[in-house]
Amino acid sequence: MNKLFYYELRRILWNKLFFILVGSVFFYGWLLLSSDVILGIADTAPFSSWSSGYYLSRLTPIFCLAEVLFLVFYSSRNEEMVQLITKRTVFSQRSYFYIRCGVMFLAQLLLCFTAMVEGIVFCGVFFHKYPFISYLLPFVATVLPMLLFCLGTGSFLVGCQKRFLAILVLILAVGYLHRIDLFGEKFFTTYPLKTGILAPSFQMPFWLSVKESILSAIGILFFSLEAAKR
Amino acid sequence: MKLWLLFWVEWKRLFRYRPAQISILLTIFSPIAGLCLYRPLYSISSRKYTTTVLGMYLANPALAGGMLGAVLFAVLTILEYNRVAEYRLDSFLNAIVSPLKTSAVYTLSILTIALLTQLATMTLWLPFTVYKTRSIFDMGDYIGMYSIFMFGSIVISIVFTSSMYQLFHRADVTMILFFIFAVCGLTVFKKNWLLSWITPLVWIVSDDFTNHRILMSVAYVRLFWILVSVGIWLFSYLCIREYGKDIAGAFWYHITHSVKRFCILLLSFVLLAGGAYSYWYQPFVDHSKKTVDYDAYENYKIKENVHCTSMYADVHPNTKKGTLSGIASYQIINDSGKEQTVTFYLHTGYHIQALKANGKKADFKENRDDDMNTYTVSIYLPRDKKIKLFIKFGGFPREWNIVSNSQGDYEISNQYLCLENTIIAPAPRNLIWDNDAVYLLHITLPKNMMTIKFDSDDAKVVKTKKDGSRVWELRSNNCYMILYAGNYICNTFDAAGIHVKFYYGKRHEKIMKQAKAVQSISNVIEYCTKHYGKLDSLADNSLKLIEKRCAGGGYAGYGASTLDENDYSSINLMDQNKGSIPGEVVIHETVHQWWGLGSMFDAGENDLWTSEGLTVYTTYRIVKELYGEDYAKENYVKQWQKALSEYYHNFYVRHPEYLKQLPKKYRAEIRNNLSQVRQYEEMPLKILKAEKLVGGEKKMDQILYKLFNRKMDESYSYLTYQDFLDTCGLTKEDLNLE
Repeated sequence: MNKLFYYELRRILWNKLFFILVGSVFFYGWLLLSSDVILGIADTAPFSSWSSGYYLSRLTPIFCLAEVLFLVFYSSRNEEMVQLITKRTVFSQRSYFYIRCGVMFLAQLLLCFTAMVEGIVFCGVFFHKYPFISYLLPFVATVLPMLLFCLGTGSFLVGCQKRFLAILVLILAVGYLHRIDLFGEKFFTTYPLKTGILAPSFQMPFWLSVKESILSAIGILFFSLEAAKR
Repeated sequence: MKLWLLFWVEWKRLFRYRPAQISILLTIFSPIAGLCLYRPLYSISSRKYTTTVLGMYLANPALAGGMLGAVLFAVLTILEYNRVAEYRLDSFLNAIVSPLKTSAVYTLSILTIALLTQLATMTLWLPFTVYKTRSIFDMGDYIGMYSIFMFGSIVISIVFTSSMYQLFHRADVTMILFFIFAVCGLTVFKKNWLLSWITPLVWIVSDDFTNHRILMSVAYVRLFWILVSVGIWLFSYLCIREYGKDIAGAFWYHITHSVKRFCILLLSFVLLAGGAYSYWYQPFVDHSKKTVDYDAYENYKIKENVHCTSMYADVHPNTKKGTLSGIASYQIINDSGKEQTVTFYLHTGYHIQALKANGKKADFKENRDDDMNTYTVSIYLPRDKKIKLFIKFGGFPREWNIVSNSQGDYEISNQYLCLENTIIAPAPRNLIWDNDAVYLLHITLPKNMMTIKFDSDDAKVVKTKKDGSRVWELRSNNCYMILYAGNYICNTFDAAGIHVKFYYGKRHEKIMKQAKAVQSISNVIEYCTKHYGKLDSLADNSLKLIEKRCAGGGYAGYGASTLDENDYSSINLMDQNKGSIPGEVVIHETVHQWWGLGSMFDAGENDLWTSEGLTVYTTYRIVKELYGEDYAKENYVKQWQKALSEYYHNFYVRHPEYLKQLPKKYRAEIRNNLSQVRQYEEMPLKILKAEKLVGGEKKMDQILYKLFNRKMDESYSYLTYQDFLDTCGLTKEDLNLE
């Protein structure tokens, strides 16, 4: 099983797509840091959790799009032809599903890690601060639930019909609108100003906890449903 | 198969292709988004989205159409390129037709489809736009905006996406790269006007005058991106996989086996170099210092023994190209008996083409030390006592880089132009301008254009040429001048004993009448005269009010103030809350005749105390009287408090030690953003506090009346903060804000 995991991991990481994704995250991340984050978000320091959260929230659509592309990669025509063989092996299809999802999730985490390291190094160079915690908190609070949501929903939709992945793309596109704020950008830019405290420490309001929990729950639910099918 | 035949087959097939049909249909209807969902133009009102009529019903739909069309056609391009590979038929197809040919055909077909879609969109939206914009509709603006704002985005998107597919041969990779490209264009590239490809940075478009300059600027952005994207496309064209080779192998094979393809490589480098050249040497925005420092700008040593006794300029704006050329001559007295090096200010967009001193060619050096939209030119004068200096100059006016995201001010067209100071002619810098020196200007303009000098003097026609163009003469007592020219109408009336000459664009005539502009301006002048006293600073007791092309602001000078075209717009007229009451700019700039010109201010050590504080406060008081207390409180007091609180809450204001750690570029940007908040927001709040402390509005009016009509000290006629505090009977500490 480990061998298969490493094999799948190598397939996804040693791939043109992954390198392009890392490059894109790096490039867009730098533009964000040097244009918006450096000014400080919502009157907070550029190395505060709010600024870090804003930075990660602007990158989350790329993480989600990466998830969609990984799912497309695993459901391509070539893959379908290989599945004719793999499905006839003694290896459990459910385990195989877990392995692939695990690999996708790990690749996602690596992308997030790239972005966070870039942000921390940026703060180190300009402000001599290395805000590890400032990046970790918003990541756990808002990015992780989105990743779970995309992975669970995406794998379920692909399991039903490959074309249904368009639904997830549509959800993400609608979520990109400022009013819907699926990725949390609006939250990081406006909430600190609403608290009445100048540059407050990072806190999650109840409604956001509920929203992120729902997203995570939906992701886990669909993931379990898909796993149960196999 | 021949290329054109392939193209015809592919083109016909594309029309039957469902994704293409959907893309065409959605693109045609995409301008709808610009009417309600996606309105990139700046709003001139903080209460609700307001812009000009053309902005509302033409520019916004065209920009939204461009953004959505770009996304739709990018998806179509990916699907089209990936269609054969998806069904694993590429090997068969490549055996029949060269993949290079196929790729070129795909791009050309999609571009042609996009062109037809664009034409269909323009045809379909024409009646709607004509209906909504009525008398201000201009076919040139319509075609210009739809083709440059909308079609430009779609073309760049198709070329970029197809080149990415040619490079990587993967739909997913192409998709992610396009996504990044589009997101950058919509977000982080927004800070750089030249990089904003998907939605160009159009701040506002004019209803009453022309929009040539902004159209030229966006067309330049398109040119830059088309050079870059076509350059990449040609390079990627040589990377198309053939004979089972990988990217490097295919590239090497293509350039070594065909002279034609090697030429394509050279062409791609030429285009990319052209793109880089057009980026670094763009003619629209200058390279002035990012930090605005007036003290440093005016800090130079005057040549005490070199005088300028008169100046003459003969300038010829080219209303088709938006350029200006001219000859300026200066009578200079050199008392030093030695050769002298003097400096002149020249506008950043201009160059000196020839220079003569007393009929002989003289040396000069363009220092290119761009600062505040000008640069200095060092001129080496001979030792002669009397020198007649001739300068032939010209060029394309460049906008100041700190306002590069709101271009359009330097419009030079046959409908409108505004020439300010060094844009007209080079101005002497470090030599003495004699008290009795005169600056005479001759400007040649088309026959339909009326010229208005921005002060109490009038311009007059001195010659009419055979082609109908007229030479206007203007005079000034200093080496700077501001003039407006265009299709203006002059309406004269008297208000509170002041003779007002009110100039506005012909297209605006109907709205001015509907808005009862004359009445509302009279109200403002009567209010100020009644509350602060009669204006003595006006020559001949006359005041000019000149409508300016929309710029979101204005200025005032002795005997003249500007008003923004949005002060009286049909959108404002439709707004029941505002009705026919004038906008803020005209009130503010008229009030400046009292505060700033009628009474001059000295900031002293307190850089808060400028004419802006009292002017903004008075504007608030007039608005309060016209619109009511609630409106004034909501739109003035609360806005000042908000801006001021944002200023003091700003991270770098609270922690200046971090600001010092930033590179110079960021420091300048942050300082420029914050520089005016205190003068425009903090000072009015302090005056408002003073008003409460002295016992209300009536008392404050009495104090201001007293200050305005105070007995002037001949040696020092400035109004200081201490004068204000003393008259109020308050101390600085009393006016500290919480």
